[in-house]
Amino acid sequence: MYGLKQAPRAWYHKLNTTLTHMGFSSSISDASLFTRFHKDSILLILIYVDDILITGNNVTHIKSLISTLHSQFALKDLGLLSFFLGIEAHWSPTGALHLSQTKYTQQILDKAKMLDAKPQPSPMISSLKLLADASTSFSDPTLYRQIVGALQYLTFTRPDITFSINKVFQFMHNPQLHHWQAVKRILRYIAGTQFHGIRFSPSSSKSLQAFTDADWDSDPDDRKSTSGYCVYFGNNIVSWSSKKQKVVSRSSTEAEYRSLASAMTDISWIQSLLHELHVVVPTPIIHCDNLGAVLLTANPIMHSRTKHFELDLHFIRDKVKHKQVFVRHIPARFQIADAFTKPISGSAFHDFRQKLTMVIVYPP
Amino acid sequence: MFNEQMFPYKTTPNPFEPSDCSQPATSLPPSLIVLPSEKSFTPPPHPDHSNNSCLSSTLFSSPNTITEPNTNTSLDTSNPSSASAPSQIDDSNVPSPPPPSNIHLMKTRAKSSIFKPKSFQTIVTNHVPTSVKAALTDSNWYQAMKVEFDALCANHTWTLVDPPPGSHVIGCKWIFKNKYNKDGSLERRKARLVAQGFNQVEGLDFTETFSPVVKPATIRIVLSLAVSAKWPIHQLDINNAFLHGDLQEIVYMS
Repeated sequence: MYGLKQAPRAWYHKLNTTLTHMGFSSSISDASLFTRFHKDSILLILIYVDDILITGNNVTHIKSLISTLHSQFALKDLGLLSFFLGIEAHWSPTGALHLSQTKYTQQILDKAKMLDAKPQPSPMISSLKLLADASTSFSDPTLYRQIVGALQYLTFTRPDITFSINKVFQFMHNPQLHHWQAVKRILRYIAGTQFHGIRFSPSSSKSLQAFTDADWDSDPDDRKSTSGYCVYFGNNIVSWSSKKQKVVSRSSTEAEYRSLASAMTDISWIQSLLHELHVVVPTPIIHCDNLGAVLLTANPIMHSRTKHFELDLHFIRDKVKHKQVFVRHIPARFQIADAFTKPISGSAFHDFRQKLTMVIVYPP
Repeated sequence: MFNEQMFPYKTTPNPFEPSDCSQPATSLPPSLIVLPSEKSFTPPPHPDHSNNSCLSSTLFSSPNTITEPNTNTSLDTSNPSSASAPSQIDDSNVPSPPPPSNIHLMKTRAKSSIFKPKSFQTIVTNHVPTSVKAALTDSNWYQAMKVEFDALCANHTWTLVDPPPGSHVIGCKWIFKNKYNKDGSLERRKARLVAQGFNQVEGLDFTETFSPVVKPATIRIVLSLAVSAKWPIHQLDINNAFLHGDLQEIVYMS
């Protein structure tokens, strides 16, 4: 029954029972992923409430799975992946998959009445420091919340706006006029880049690589830092994040170390997910441009400046010691994740977007 | 340049002065004199009353072009074809709107005999009913409600019982929605009976909640794997997904 609080849970329970009977097991890393490994046949099912994606290496098994599900539930077979959760999927002749959210972008712009907005080359000007209280309250806070909330889903295929959206998201409780101006700048940027999306290209490499960075003392109000990271699986970017840290760091090394730890947790999760998918990955590598933070992961010493770090941050030392992860230092110019921690614009932003494997997906 | 002591519209050209551009600049702001399209406009009007009335008579002689700006008759007319009829009646009964009394240089739409009828548009075809009563009278919506009701019955969603005394009963509501195709045309009408879950009390009507929502990173990792291995990716959509589940708790709905 629709509307009941327990309705989605009851539906999941039903689907889980049905799929378990068919030999599937629910993944531990993500309960909405079902897998079946039978001899050399692989079947994977992704569930988003009533939208389902099925993939696997055996076409006949996929077909029979769909017909079995058809006998249990009334369903619509939408064929090969083309439009899923508001995301458009296009296949390029080279076998790469392009994901974009053009239609969703237009809906947001329409709601903000900015469909004809003048495009901007970047989502935020690089010198911008948004204060919590610097102007008068925005007249329509509900509109602010609706637009920013809608923009957040756009980060599914748009890692380039992750930082800017996270920034304006921090003022949801009391949006002011200058925050709305920052939102409008983002809207102008996406108006000019409606057809941009991420690309998944066939990759023989199964390596996991992460780039982490932190912007120390980035928040002028409470002096907290911002951490950002992105994770590549082979050539393809699969996970990224931009977050304000919860604790004030006393040094940039401490902020970088925190960022390293949060990237580590994500990598561990991806590792366990890939392990469940029977994918063997070489030891992941985390790239960090702060030498102090890199050395801290390897040397168990307590300097007077680092002794106050929380103990749980040092789980990364454990991982390094047992060779479960490599932490490497890279020069700042090769850093990709810095645009997840601070606003950049101009040619640096253009380079950043290319490194994110972002492409322009033209409508067919 | 601009004399704020003087209201520009009141400065009508002196009838005894030749109305050419040699007028003092202080009498009128330049923006009112310099018209972008001098040629289309009649030369600066001589305050000749015969000329003026002639102009107004030509303007208001054709009743079809006139729509009363504020008549209530135009509100009643739902179809635009009958819009000309009341204006003809108005022409005889109601005194016609006064001809433009000002004769200065500013060009107005009325002087150029441009009249646009006010259009009051109502979309009748894609109307969404606001009440069950209204929906039942419309055969299309009745059909949509029947589809939903049949699905509910086919899934044995409920049994009719008398609520035990003291039991917590939650309400329900019909939701009507138009579903559109990609090109904007109407695909179908959808009616959905929903329970008013916001009245449910945790521990009484339900114990645990969970939503099967896959993480974005999981989707991207699986897609990345599928692309690399050249696996086909199929897509399904379950109809009435939430009608399939079996509730653990008893929920009373009125």
